[in-house]
Amino acid sequence: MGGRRVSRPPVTPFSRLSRQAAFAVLLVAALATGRAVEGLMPAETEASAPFERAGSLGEPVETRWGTVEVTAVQGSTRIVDSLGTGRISAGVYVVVDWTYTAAGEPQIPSYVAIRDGDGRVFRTSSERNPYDSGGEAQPGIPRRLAVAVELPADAVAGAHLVVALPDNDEDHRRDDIAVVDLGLTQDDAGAWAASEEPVEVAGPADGPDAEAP
Amino acid sequence: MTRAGWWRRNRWGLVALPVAAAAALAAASYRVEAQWWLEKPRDLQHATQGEWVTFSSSQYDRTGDVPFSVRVRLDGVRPAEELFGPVSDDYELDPPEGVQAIAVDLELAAPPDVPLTSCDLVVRDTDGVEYDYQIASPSIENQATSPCVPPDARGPELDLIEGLDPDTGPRRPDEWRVSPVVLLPEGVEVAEVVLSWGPPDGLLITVS
Repeated sequence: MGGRRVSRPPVTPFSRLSRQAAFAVLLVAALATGRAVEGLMPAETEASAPFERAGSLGEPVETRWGTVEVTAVQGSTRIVDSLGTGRISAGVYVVVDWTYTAAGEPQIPSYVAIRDGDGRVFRTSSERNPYDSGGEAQPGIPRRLAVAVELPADAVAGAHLVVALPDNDEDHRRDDIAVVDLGLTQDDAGAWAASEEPVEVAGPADGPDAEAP
Repeated sequence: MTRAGWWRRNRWGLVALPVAAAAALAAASYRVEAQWWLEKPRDLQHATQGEWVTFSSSQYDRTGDVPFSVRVRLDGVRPAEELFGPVSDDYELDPPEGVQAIAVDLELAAPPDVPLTSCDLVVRDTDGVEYDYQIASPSIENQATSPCVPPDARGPELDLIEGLDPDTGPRRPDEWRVSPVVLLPEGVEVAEVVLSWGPPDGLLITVS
């Protein structure tokens, strides 16, 4: 420190010990406070949370990696996938038709799931919850896609479609994800849980929807 | 306490500060190479349409580094009429509405023992948006797996799997022409073609 000397009272062994003890107590208290604040506040999860780009049925949702638009939602206890395989659920199959348009370079979302009102997540896979992406989509060429997700009937009302680029949900941190409100109600859940009419899950196709108005 | 005194007292700390900052940045950027530099071709050799250029780079396989040189000329980019080397003649080029198919006419030359099959072809529009050569997609049933070698005389493969002879098939000619097909949205104009046999090296050819 500087060359200035400050006159202090004479230092006894006892006062030096108590100063050290006070310093140690303060240090521990500061560390404990920091730990408590970190535990109580959602710092860890919030700082690495994905950026949720919200939208609803029929509304294009812009993300860093492209545009997602849900075009139709249907439901039943039965589906038929693009290979003609039929599946039956004791709950409800929700079938979502959507369009993805890549931005910047060829890419395709690998993660598609339905999140219910309680935050439960039901993911697509290749078997019982079919999602066939068709591989990377060229930028600017809309890719028409369909997914079917099997849900318990109580998860239908308020369900959202969640779309992200990486398959592993830990890799969604600090990146955009599209979260689309499917606009479903308890009435939809009841009707679909009672329906035995198979809903077709279409395979991937490029280009704008020819049947669209 | 004077200002000069503060600078003088902290002179060693000030000397160490830029060094420490540089070391901290270097330590924090250890993933830049794997996740950015090697993610796509970034060290690009530039060329223009119509000129022969020699592109040298290196691949690697079980035997280690495999350096190679290939001569390349971009003849042009034109609307495509047929797929590039489909497995079956039944597969036809039929892009959906709003989609154009372009053929990239390339001439290449290399000795027939140089493995050149593992090549990526990307075209860029005037805004830098990238479109890649796809073997299959919902709009393309099937094209040749490599856009850079003749589909019926690919030449040797890299020696990647023990017990598999990398040198199969007919001899590749010393000079050959390929026309791989890339799909783009209608109205998009191709400004650049990028060829790469593995990042970070690549050959960027400006379309004129």
